[in-house]
Amino acid sequence: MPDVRLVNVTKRFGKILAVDNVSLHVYDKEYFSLLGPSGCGKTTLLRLIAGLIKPDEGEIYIGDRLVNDVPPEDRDIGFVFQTFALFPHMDAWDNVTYGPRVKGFDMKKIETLGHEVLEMVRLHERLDAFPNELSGGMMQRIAVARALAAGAKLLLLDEPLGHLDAKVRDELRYEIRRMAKDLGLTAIHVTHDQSEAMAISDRIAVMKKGKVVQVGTPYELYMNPKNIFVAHFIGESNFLEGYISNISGKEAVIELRGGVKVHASCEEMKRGDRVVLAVRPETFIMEKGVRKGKNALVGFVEKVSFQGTNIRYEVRLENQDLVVVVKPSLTEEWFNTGEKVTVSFPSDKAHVFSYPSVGLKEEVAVE
Amino acid sequence: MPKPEVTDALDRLSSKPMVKYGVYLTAVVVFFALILLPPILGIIIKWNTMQEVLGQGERVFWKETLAFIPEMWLLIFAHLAITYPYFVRSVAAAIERISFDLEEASRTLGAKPLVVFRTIVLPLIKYSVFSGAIMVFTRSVSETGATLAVATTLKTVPVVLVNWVNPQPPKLPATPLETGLGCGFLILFSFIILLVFRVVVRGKGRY
Repeated sequence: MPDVRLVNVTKRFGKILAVDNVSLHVYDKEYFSLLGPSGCGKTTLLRLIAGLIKPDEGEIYIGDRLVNDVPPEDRDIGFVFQTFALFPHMDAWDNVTYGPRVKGFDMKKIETLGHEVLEMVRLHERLDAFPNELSGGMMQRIAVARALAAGAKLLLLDEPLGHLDAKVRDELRYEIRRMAKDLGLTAIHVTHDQSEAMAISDRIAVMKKGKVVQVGTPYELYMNPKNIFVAHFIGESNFLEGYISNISGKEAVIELRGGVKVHASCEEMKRGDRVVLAVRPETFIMEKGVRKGKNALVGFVEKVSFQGTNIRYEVRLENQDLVVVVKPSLTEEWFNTGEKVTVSFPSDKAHVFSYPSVGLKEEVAVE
Repeated sequence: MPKPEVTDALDRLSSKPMVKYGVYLTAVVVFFALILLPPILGIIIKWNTMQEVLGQGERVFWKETLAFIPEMWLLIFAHLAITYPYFVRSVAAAIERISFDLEEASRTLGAKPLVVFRTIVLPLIKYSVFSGAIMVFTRSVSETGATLAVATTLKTVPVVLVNWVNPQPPKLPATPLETGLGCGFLILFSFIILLVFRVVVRGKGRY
């Protein structure tokens, strides 16, 4: 049963550092996601694990085996491509049984495996269809079946849902997770879609510029982001800039732009530090009119957007900062554009980060 | 921060399967060998008469200096050199069209590079190989210049036909009937060859 360990893995393409000293441990039978914006090195990392490219430095272990010099065909993996990569000159059956055939399994076993996996992806009736006769969703299910047919215990998925329609994507992501779990596979899923990663992963590694910036369960990443980038990339966050004007124990008083003072829990900060306060849009409590109280910020509703499940408000504060507030659309009172409101948040629900040396805009940039 | 396309492109380039490199390399080496071999040999053999060699061109390079090479081989080399680009263009375009993902998918499923070539690359370029062969055939069958340059005793069908129509004195030209029959034979032969290619190329053709 394979776990995957990366030890100080680095990969360069000329002067570009695609993967920068990454160490990771993906546990056996875990559904693990590599999440990050385009160009962050997540696909490169997956291709390193698959053996499609070799690391410049570091070690890659699949199970107990050091696989740095093992070619992809000997790594016993299943790889699913964003482009499906079905062989266009073969029908669904030949595609699915390709792995067992090239590995030299006997005919009886090939038949059994082929039928089993096609049954699993519910495409048994299309086994004589060529790839160009199948829809995107069907093609990707055949591609998953093909990856599973050779009996690999490690499934690598490179943005497998990237080329599919939204509805198909939503259905297929749960289906892929279910199959991986049913078969007891270790799965590593690359995606740039945080909602996809949050929905299906046991754990997620968030990547930025070739580095892993945080690893954790979806809950940990959402509730306790370790840095501004994760707070921004996982879910949505409002960032308010200010200085620590006072600190007592784990609670700091932060002076925001315009002299407004708010309280928030923080660690390892000192008086005078320039900080960024991150507050989730759904954390805000919003009330009509001007209210006094802890962490109360007064402003007016600048924009209202109805999003179905939620309603999204953009509130311009008196200090000219803009905050986004999200409320359930059916169970809470609505506010109108131009209405004066007070937004507040609990001190323990906000995160305080040191102001990034490269600037806030650059720190959260995803391109 | 690097642009993602750059990373992607480099990523793919570095993982480009050896199979493709092999095909390209072979094509380039064979092509240049065919073109350069006769002149280089010519220069080596007749270095002291370079002026003469250059002055008399291809005729001297091939026919006189390479007399030790059997004429049939010279003829084949000459036709290969002339028709090779037609074949390479056709097949190279087909290879370019094959997505890297297909070869990589095949590798991850357990196929060794040669198996990838046999089961994925070859079936996908099959039709271009045949169409390249058709072009090579049509080009070769109409080639008289290269044949005359390298061969003294051997003659290809078009050369024979030219000789019939316009023979060296004192030989008399063939009768119109003979020439017509010769042309008819050539047309029939070409038709049969092209028909065979067409039947083979048709195949299943579902992609």
